[in-house]
Amino acid sequence: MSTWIRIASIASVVLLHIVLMPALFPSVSVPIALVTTSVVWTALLGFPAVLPPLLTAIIICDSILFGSVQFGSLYFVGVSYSVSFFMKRTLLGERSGLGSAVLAIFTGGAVIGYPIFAWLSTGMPTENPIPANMLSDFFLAIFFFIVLIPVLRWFESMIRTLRQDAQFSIK
Amino acid sequence: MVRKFFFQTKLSKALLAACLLAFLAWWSPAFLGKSIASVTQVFLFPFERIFSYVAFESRETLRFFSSIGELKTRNEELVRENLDLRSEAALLKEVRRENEMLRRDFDLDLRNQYQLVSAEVVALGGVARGQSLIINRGSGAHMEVGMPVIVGKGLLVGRISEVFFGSSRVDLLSSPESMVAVTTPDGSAKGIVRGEHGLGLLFDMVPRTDVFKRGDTIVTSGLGGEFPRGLLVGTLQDPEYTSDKLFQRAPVISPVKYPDIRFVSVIRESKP
Repeated sequence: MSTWIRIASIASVVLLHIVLMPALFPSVSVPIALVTTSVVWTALLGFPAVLPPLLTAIIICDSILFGSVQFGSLYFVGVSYSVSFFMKRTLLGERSGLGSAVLAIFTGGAVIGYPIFAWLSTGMPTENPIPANMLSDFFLAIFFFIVLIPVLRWFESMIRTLRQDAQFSIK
Repeated sequence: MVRKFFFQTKLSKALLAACLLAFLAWWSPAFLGKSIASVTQVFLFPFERIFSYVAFESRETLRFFSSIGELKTRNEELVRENLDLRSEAALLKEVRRENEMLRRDFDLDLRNQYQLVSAEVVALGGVARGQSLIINRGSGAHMEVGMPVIVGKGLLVGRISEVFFGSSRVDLLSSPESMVAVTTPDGSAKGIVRGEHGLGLLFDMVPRTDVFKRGDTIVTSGLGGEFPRGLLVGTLQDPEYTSDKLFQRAPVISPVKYPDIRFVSVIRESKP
C-alpha cells in the first residue's frame, strides 16, 4: 500500500509539473514545481532517500515533455544535495519555523538560479533575465513551497503510518 | 569516530545520481523515453484531463476578473474588427465560389479538403511553453508523426513529433527543430519559418529580390509536401537583412499565443 502512495505522490508531482503549472502560469519557463519538490522532499525524507522518487519524477517529466532526459535536470539533484548539506550543517531541520522560512527563501533562490544553470548546460537561453520576472518566479516558488509542504508531508505521514502498521501487525 | 569511505558519503550518491542523469541525457535513448512516456501517459491520462480542465478554467476565471476594466474598450475594438472581417469574409466567399467554379472548369482538385481530427491540449512543455504540446489523441486515433496540427480552420501551429498510445507530442512552430516552407499569399516573397528556441518565429532565407513588408501575412507554400498549401502561419514584422546581406528576414507574430491553445485539429489527410 505504501508503494501505491509513493506512486501517487510522484504522479502528483508529475501532473503538477506538466499540466497544472504550464496551464496556470504559461509565461513561467523555470520548472518551479520540480525545484520546489526537490527542496520539500529533501527536507522531509533526507538526501539519500529522496533520490529514488526524485529521479523517477525527473525521468518521467522529461520523457513526456522532451522525449529524453535533459542536461538541465541535473540541477534538481544539485538543489537536493545543497538542501541536505545546509540543513545538516545549520541544524535547520531542528527549528521548524525558522527552518521552513529559510528553506522557502532557498527555494526562491534556487528557482532564480535555474536559468543560469540551463544556459550553461545547454547553451540556450530560457527567458530574458528581466528582474521583474525573476522576482515573480521567486515569490511563486515561495508560494508553491507553502502549498507543497503540507501536501507532500501528508503523503509521507501516510507512508510512515502504513509502514509501521505493516511492521507491527501480528498475524 | 567511524571514518566513512567516499562511496558511503552523500556526495558520492549525489554524484552517482548526477552521472546517471547526465548519461541518460547524453545517450538520449528514444525508445526508453517513448516507453516511459507511453506507459505513464496511459495511467496519468484521466488525471491529466481533469487537471488541465481545472487549470485552464481557473486561469480563464482569473483572467476574466483581472481584465474586467478593459472589457468595454476591448468589446468596442472587437465589434469594429468583426464588421471589417464580415465584409472581408463576404468578399472572399464570392472569390472562393468563383475559384471553385474555375477549378472545376479546368479539372483541378478543390483546395483545402482536409480530414480533421479534433484534440484537446493536456500539457505544455519546453522553454516558456513555446516548444511542445501534449494532445489527447494517440496511435489509437491513428495519429502519425509529421501530421500538421492547426487551430481553427487553418492556422498552423506545429506538427506531431511523437505518438504514444493515448496521446501525442506536438512540436510547435517556435521549437528550435521546426522549419516550414512559407510564402506570402501573392507569392512575392518565399522563405522558411523557423523557431527561435521556443521564444518566437522567424521568416528567414528570403532572397534579397523578394518583396514583403510589415503586416503581410505568410502561409505554407506546400513545398516538400509536409504541410498542405495555404495554412496561415502569422503576420510579418519589420524586415531586415542578414549579417552577410544575402537574405532578408523578419520576425513573425502568430495570431494565437501558444500557451493559450486548448483545442487543436490534426490534419490526417489533405489534398494539395
